[in-house]
Amino acid sequence: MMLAPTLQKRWDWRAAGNFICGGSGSGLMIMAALLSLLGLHASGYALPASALVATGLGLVWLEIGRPLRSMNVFRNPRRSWMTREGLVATVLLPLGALAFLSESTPLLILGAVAAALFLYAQARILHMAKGIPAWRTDAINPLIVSTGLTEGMGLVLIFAGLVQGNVAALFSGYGWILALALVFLRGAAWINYRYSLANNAPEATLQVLDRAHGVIALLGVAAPIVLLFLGKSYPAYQLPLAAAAGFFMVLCGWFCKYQIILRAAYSQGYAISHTPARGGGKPGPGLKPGWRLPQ
Amino acid sequence: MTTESPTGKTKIPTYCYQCVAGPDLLNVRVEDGIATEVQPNFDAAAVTPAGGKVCVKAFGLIQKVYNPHRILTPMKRTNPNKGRDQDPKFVPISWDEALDTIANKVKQIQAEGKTDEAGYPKIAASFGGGGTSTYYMGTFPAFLSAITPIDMGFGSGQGVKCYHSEHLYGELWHRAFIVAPDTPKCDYIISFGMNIEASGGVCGVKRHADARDRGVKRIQIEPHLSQTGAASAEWVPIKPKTDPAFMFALIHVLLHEQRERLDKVFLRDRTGSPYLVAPNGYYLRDPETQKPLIYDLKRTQAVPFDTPDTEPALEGQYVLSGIELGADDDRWEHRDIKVTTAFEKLVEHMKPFTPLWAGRVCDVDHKIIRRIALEYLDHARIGETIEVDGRTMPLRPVAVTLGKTVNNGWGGYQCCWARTMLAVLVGALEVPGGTIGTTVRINRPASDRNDSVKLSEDGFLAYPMNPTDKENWLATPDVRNANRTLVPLVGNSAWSQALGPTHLAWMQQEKGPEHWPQATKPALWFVYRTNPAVSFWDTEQITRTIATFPFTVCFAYTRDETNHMADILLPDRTDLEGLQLIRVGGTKFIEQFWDHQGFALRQPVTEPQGDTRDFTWISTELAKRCGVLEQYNKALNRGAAGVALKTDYYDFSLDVDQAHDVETIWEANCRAASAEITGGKESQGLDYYKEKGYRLTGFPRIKWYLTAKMEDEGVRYELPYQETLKRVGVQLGRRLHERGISWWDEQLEEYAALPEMMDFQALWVGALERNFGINISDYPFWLVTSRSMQYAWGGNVSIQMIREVSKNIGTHGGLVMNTGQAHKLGLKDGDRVEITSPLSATRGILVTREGIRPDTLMLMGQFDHWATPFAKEFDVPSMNALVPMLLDLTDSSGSGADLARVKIKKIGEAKK
Amino acid sequence: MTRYVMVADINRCVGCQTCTAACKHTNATAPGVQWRKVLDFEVGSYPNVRRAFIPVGCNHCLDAPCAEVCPTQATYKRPDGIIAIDYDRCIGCAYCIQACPYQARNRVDIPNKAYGKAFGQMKHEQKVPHSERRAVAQKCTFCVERIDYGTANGLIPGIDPDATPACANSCIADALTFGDIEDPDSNVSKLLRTHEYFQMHAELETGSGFYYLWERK
Repeated sequence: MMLAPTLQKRWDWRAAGNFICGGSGSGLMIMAALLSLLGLHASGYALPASALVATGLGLVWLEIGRPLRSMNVFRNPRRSWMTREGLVATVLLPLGALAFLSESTPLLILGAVAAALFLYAQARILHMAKGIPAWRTDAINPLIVSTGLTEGMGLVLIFAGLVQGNVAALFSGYGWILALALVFLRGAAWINYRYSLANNAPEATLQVLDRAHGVIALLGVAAPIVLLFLGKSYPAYQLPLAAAAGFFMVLCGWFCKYQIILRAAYSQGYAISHTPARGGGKPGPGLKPGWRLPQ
Repeated sequence: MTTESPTGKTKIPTYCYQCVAGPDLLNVRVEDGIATEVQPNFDAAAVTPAGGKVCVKAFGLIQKVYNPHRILTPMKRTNPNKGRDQDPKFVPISWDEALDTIANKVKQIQAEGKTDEAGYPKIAASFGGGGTSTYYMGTFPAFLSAITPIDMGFGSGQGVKCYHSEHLYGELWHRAFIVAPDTPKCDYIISFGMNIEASGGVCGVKRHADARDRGVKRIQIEPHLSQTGAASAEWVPIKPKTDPAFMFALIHVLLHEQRERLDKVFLRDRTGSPYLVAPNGYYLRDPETQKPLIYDLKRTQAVPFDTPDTEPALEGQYVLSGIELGADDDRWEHRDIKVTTAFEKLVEHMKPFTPLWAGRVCDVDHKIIRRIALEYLDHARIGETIEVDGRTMPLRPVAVTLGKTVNNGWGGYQCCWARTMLAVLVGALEVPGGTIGTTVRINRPASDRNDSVKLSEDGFLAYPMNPTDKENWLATPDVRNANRTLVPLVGNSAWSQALGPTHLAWMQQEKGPEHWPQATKPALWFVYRTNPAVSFWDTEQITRTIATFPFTVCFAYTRDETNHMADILLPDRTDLEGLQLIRVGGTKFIEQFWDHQGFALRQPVTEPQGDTRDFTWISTELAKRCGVLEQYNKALNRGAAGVALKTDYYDFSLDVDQAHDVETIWEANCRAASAEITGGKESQGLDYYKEKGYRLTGFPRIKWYLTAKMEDEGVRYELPYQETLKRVGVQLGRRLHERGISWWDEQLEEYAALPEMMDFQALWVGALERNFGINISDYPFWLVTSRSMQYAWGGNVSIQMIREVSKNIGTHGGLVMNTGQAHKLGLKDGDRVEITSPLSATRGILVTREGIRPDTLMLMGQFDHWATPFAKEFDVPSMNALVPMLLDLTDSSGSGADLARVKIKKIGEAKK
Repeated sequence: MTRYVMVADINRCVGCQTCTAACKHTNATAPGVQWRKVLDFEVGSYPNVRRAFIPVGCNHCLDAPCAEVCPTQATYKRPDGIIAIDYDRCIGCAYCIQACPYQARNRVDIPNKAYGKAFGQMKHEQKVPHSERRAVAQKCTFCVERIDYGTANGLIPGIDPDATPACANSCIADALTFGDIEDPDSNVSKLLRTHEYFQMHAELETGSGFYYLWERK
């Protein structure tokens, strides 16, 4: 029998899908609002953003044991971030739809406020899962938020070409700086996240994160930065370069969440701080199987 | 507010006796006739040592009832060819057909002669579980007694997997079929491989937990870290089969470094220590009375041992005259020869066995050995007393216990003797806190071992040794394992056949030794609650042999490896479906010392499944159809079902001409039981027991110890010196040699007055090299086994819940190997390995643990099933396939030890 | 105030799994699901090895992470400290399973069939199907219906068998003791006064209600 932390199996790709879709969708909504403030035509992003969030929630609905009772999810707003996520979604989704239909920037901004809350709620859902060391660290919050925003920005970049002038506007204005900043920010959040878990997570978790690190550094940080600078330097290729940069920004976020939610999600495991004195014998040291250092 | 208790409205009391550490009482919760839950019987909390609780095994009983793999109707074999590779093609038949077929066979045997051309009974029977099957077979013993003789010598584990030497020598020395510490009072226990936490049952586990709570120091000396090692103050990893050296060194320290501190009063008054030993190794005796002599320091002369008002000398050499009586008619007259006391002989004998020497043999730091000897002595509190039931007795809270493989096979004699001597030297034998015996199975009466205390002519505990003198030796064995012929110690009780060299019965089926009849096959073999095709050694040969038996009747719960060869399968009602009254309490096996004694009922808690039948119904029907109803009923009246139905003060006897139904039979037994307990005053019947579950009366604690009886009768323990055994050995040797038999000579050497030390590891190595022509260095590991508390005795391998919960114990599930050793060999936890002994090979998963010697491997329990449903999917190997049955590895008591030499090879990677 | 806790004396425990089995009977849990079980720890390296048996299950925490995260309030803390689940309210989102650092929670979506699909349900499995627990969160309840019955009928939980969890009742080593930690005279309070103890994962500050005695003071 396993004493060491075991990989959680209860949340599968459907739950991961909620964090992937929900993060990207809410990030997209926020980015769209920000860019519209910078003068881009961005209200069109509200629909795919809402659709992504809805898809994520739909996936969760498919995973829960009693889908017919799903409305009970709203019953603990006082304490549960899952309830809060759900409540915010009830605002976010109609706002997104309305912003798209009305092409209204104020509605889009309202939607983005809801999306920000939604994204934060998602981060806190993982943060409050005390049973999974890879999730419960404080550093999960900036990581989930920053990657959501980065993914949102990535989606903007991918689809920027759909609206005439948006690509050029991104590179001529602050758009590409924002994208660069997000990539850096997420990179920093990732490093901070890993740092927070060093000696503070199961061995198996750390191994997964070690393996993921290369991918994230290369595809999630280096590739978008290079592509964005190239875009800045070669205006003729801005559209494909922006899309490629966006693609890596999104891909890395999804990869990162997939790794954290499905691959690195080892449980706490069992531990004892002492072995007992047996009869007239002496007590002995404890054990925390599966952890690199005693905590 | 009063609502219905959530623990259930209907609870039916019954008992669990699945293992020898029982019986224990329990309740079964029943909802609308369906058993849903096993619970403790807290009504009995105050009167049972286990507090009315049962262990994990009892919780398997509900699935046992409803298991979809059960056999639910009688079956007969339609494929006449038997063998592992043969489909038996069982087809359902009626009970009439099944019983008539068996009855016709019995009648034919009775008509043609009950014994065959070799003189062996044509009917044989094998039962499992150290006699526990008796507590589930209703009145079947009465049926068997009506169709005697029966060969009960085909063992299913007896002799090779029991505390064999302990049973025999324990009964000889202190009426101890099993030896236990007086755990409730003991402060220091040296346990050589005794896995009491896995084998001690509810009572053992509770008592040892209580003892730990008050600070008992238990030292576990064992090659691997068992549950008992885990729960001990200290674990000493010893090389397998070197325990005798360790124990001899403990005695050495006591005798040669601490002699003045020993319990000299006990040695002088309660043992044969002061007896004088003459030059040929027999006692110096008084020429007139032939009584052994002691040297009286008061009179400064030798006097017979039982002379009143003496002060016997424990030590010293004396020049004296007298006679010496040896084997058969050997007799020497001595004048003014040098004699010494038996104690002096002991001191001399133990001189070479220093801790330094033993440390090398056992691969244990000699300082540890000396420290343990001194701690033992310090804790013995020699001189202190305690009052028990108004009688002042010595208090000696130290004990030594032995486990399997230590107390059977070669070395078992040395260990049992040394263990008993360690108690004797500090006066801790059969006294509060010390080493005590449990039930008797060879001596009589079985109901109370105190009553078996009888004075021998030489002043010791009299013992029912099988005769070895010319006139009375049983030269032609009467059963196939030749128990009474070869093993004088085994006695002649109902248990003696099962205590013979049971593997001899199996081995001879392929090839008998020289000057010995080739063993015949039983014409009819009954099997119940046992599966020798899995549970004995060399399981391949056993399986082959079973396939050659012409007519086998198996009482069958599910299909299994033994009943794969059966001709008839009879589905009896299981533990929770049948009716039976048994005797409980007093002193029983393992740590079952009660303050009460009486009776408990097993009763149906739920509707029987399918067309299963109560064992008593089956027995009565068989008796009727075999035409032995009268003998059967008479046996019942005599007490074959547990209680004599007629005594001087009550009479509930059954009409002997009539077939009685199940309830009538047990009603009579219940009434007799009530009468027995109340001295004839009361006679409550079955209804009373069905409601209450049990009926008890007090059992005085003074009876836990033989001391009072021994003192009152003036009896001594025949220790340290074994004059009787020496004589018996010489006589047995002469008888065998007179018949030209020399293949038992090594066994005869064991009959030494003081046990000789040997290199027991070398003995195994030599036997394997000789018999298999191998080079032992090709088989670098010792393979040992260990008890699984969840499975042992239970016949419960097909119970899913037992499988599920047992997996929580890390050492289940595969071949246990030292982690560092595995690493060295490039192996890791979970790898698939092949384990090969000189005899055979098996496969399984590697389990790496720190708690095992690097030179030792361990396989827990007995699995390797290939026919038993559910269990055949386990993929867990068993050592039984790997251990050969060899005469060379059989000791004089007829037992062998679970020990093999193996090599391993990786055959597959661990699954991710 | 009352707070029920479990105390395990790991000097007494021998890992026999009787509590595991008793819990499975009383609560009719699914094959493979054990609300109470005993772990087999090996500490150190040969020859300095120790082996300890550690009963585990729901810790009925003071600050229960499971109740904190539950979006439906199906998991809640009772006034007596027991963390309970309202099966009819639970949506089976399994968030609580991720929140529990003791791996004490399960979700089972199919009816109990110990011998697998091919054989269907045995009679006793049919008799106590506990369909209310299907596809929702489940865990050790401290046999809460016994506690409620006991307190309603003047029994003392932890002392009277009808008011005591099945594991503690069944424990053959008397290693498991259940009782009210707020009552200074209770069995558990006395044990905690006379022994050194630890709580598992104390650094996570769950306020675990499961105490392990490892040495007498």
